[in-house]
Amino acid sequence: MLTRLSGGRIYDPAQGIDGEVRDIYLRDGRICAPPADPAMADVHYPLEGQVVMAGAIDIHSHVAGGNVNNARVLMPEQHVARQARYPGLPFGGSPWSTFDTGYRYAEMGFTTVVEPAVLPINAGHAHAELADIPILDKAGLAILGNDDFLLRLLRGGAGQATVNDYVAWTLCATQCLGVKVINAGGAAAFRFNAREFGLDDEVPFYGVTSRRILNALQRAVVALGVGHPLHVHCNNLGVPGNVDTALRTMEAAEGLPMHLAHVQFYGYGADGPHGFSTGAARLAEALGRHPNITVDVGQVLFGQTVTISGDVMRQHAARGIARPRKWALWEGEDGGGGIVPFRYRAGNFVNALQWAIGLELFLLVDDPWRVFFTTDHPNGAPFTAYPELFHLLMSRDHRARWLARIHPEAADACLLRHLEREYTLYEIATMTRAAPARLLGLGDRGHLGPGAVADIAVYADLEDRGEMFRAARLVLKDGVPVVRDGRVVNPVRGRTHAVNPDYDRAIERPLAAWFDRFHLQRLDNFRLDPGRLAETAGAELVIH
Amino acid sequence: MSALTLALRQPPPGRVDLSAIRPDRLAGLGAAAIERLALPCGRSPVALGELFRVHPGDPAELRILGGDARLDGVAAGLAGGRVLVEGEVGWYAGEGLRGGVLEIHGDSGPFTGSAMSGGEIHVHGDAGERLGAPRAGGRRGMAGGVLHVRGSAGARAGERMRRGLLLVDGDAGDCCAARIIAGTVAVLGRAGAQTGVGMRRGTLLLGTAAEGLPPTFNATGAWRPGFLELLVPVLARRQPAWTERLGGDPLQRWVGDLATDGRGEIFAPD
Repeated sequence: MLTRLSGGRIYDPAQGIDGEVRDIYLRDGRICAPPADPAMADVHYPLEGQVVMAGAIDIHSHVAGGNVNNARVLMPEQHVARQARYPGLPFGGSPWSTFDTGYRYAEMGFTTVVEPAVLPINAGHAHAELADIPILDKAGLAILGNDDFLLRLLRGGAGQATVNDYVAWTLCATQCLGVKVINAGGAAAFRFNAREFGLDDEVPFYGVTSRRILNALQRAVVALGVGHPLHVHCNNLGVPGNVDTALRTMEAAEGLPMHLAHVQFYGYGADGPHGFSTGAARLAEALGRHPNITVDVGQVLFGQTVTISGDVMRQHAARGIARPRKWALWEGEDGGGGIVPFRYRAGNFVNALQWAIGLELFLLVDDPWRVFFTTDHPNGAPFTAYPELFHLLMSRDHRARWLARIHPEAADACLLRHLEREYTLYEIATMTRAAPARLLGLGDRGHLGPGAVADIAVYADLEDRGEMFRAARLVLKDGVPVVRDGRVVNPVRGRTHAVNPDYDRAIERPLAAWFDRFHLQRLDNFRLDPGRLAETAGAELVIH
Repeated sequence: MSALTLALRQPPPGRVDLSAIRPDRLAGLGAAAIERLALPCGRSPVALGELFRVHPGDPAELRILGGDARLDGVAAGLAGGRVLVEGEVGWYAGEGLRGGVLEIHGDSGPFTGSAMSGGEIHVHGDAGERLGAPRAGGRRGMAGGVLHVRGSAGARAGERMRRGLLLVDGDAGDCCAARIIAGTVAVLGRAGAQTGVGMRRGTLLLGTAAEGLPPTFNATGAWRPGFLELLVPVLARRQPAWTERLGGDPLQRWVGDLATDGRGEIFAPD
């Protein structure tokens, strides 16, 4: 079947197309070259005056897994039992369910989402939940860096080749797309009662530094040829003055590719009367010097949310500021997790400055290929607040309205008043489509060239960019219309993407011995089998 | 102008969600437009006109004739006006009521007046369980207004109440006034097991000698605090029997639940 999308203004940075009116043709779920005769199309969508982009990609959003579920249990008031808003669908109206996640993302034109923190011990659960999210294509990043086996390897002076094998084995065992490291060694140090942990601190008992762990993992990811660079959650998240940590981490990358997650939370100086200031300019300047580094912002937006993190040390420190006053923290095999509900308030100096720092990062970093659109859902704000963030990036006036409302000292302490930049649709398409696809190593999406999957979002060109991105006029997933006029019309199933790099099977001998000696399960039970995943969770895996 | 009337044609084929049918939303709609409104019924929508015969009138007063235990969400979120039901209603009647009056001449299902914050609900029959209580996951129950049940109430009446007045003329089920934060609950008949369990603050008046209170309540002896002379007449205006039940004698008083905040009070005659 041939489908024709005609008359829309195309924004496709991967091909350098900036708002040209062109026709797009789709066949069998893929974009194809135009046929000789446009009339050959079986289905025709006239899109005159509308904006056409590839489906958006979220590279960092906590949508599945044990910690997300713990947060659901801790925050029942966030998903009060309601009857289905969509007749005919089970639990279709239940907020914060897998259905809700898929629906809300699709309605904004997103078609691929990455869960950036899959604890290997939780990978089975994470995959079951990812498989249950309708419409979207999904992927997970496996967490390493606080696990006993890796730290033992490094303590024992194992070579990089052994670490590479272990990382590759983990990726295959968890069926993930990349590797994430959260406060490398911090959660392990937390077990030995450390409550502060920097890049050059040693993990007690293991005697390896955070820097050593980071380097070993980063080199492994590069050596294995995994498309997505090491995804790093640095030390000292949320601590005033931590911009130095972020800068040292960039240096530690030694020119190899590395992705720093939610850098807004590392953009803090310790100056000023409140001992809290913006470090966004220093971060942006450092990014200019380190072309190997990419970042996502983790923007804060005001309102109630819940912070979910594998950084147990940070979450333990933040438990006192939980609003409502309840929190949950657990420590487990590969790390752990902490859930701290939080309410960001515009009238609070620190929260307002966090908000401003995120926006400064967006506006100061000139390269939309290297700065990514996230709120670290739900840590900075739930993903449902994305339209507001699009609006802030694309409208100086909207920012000015907010600057008048936030804590006045924060408004004075930040650079935001002096930043005139407004994101264009082309830059937005780069940041949310072309660049994420490239960063994740998923060449078949994020653009509208022939051969790409037919994941396409169509928006009305409205003055109010928030309204525009809140409700896509039309979303196609694999060529099938799934959203019309901002409402889901067809909740198709999405796929899960993973990489399976090659490794030397010899690693399984010491691993099996370690599992037998220390672990709750045997190695063969720990490792996920794609056939079983398909059978039990309904996950359709695509191995890259 | 007479009331807008919806007369049920026959028992509905599935659970019907009437929460969208509110006087403020019906204002300005003609009878034909009202008949075309889609109501969720079971797993698929059905036109209102298929279930109800519509007699046009002023939507500020809405009458529903011929109730059914499968009509859910009647007058949910009502902010003003009157809704009158001649018959039974299902779950979530008057949920989140903010103002106006809901009058049910029949029994009502679970979660009647769930988390209401104003207005009045009168149930002339019996009410189901979790009267005024929040839905699963909600943190706050009734937060204002008056909820008056002429018959009996099911288990967990008034759960997690924050403010307002809850009156039950008949009996209340188990765990009456469970986990209430504040507010006033008055049960003229018998209250079931674990009455007041988890009570933080608030006042529970019983018209019948108390039995089966949780062990975490302390009996403080017989006493008659002054505020009863103000409160009892308020109750008596709605149910005259209160004057005689809580007459001039000292009442037994318990404080609790000491397993939580422990500043709640229960009063009952000997």
